[in-house]
Amino acid sequence: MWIYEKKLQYPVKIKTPNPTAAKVIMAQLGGPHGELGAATRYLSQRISAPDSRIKATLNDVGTEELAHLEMVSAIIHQLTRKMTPEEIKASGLDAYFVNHTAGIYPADANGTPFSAKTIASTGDVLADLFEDLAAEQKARISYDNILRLIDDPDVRDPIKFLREREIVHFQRFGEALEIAKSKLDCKNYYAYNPSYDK
Amino acid sequence: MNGEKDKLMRTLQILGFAIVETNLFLDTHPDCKKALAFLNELIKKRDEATAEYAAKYGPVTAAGSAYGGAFTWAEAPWPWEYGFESGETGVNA
Repeated sequence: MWIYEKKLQYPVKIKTPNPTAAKVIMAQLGGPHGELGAATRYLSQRISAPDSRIKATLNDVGTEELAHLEMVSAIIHQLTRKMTPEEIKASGLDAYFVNHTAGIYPADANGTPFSAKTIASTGDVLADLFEDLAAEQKARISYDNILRLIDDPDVRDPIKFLREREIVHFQRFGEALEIAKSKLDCKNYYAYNPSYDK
Repeated sequence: MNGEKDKLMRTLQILGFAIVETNLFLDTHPDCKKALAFLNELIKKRDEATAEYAAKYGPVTAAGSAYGGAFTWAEAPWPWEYGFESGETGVNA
């Protein structure tokens, strides 16, 4: 279970709304490298993970991703305050607006709804951890690309925080992978699925 | 505008972040005594700061401590709202 803390993990205070920036940042809400996918991926994978340290890492990183989903939601919410119809049309957010107004809906930057097809959970610790390492890198790339497109320091500041977390999570999953490998047959990593074979 | 409230919220965020980071490190290094001592120190500081914040400005968790005469949990602002932090004392200021 979880207990909610009435605070953001890192502050979000955006003085100037900017729906064009909001549209781009949607990528990290419900896109293929986004925070909803990250949380769902790790919180699903942890159940069959074979080692307590790997379970703990997936559990705690997955939980942190929920806080990141909240931060990205706060960024988009604050960027879409007080929009005029002209601004909505000019920003390209009009197709999103017609269905969701200024509500938060997990879609990617093109408006495609979140899909669990963007994540994997295989019951195989090596497949899952390699997926997780790639996921953290892909999310870091998305945040790098957002930083290439956005100048407002109020937006860049929390995005830089989120980018940095991808790097730390990559490190922890790398350590989890070393733990997993140390418990497998080093001459045959692939003959055994710990969630199924005993 | 409430500079002291913002400052205390920032303290909670800093301590909360340090706790998350140390916790993740310990997940893959459970035998590191130095990190464990650091985590214990952070938890103590976080508990003190949380109690101070809750007493002055309202609860941080819905059931973290008993309420006085009024249920203040649902009161605005919520953290994603612009204006949750007035910002004058923040790292963004």
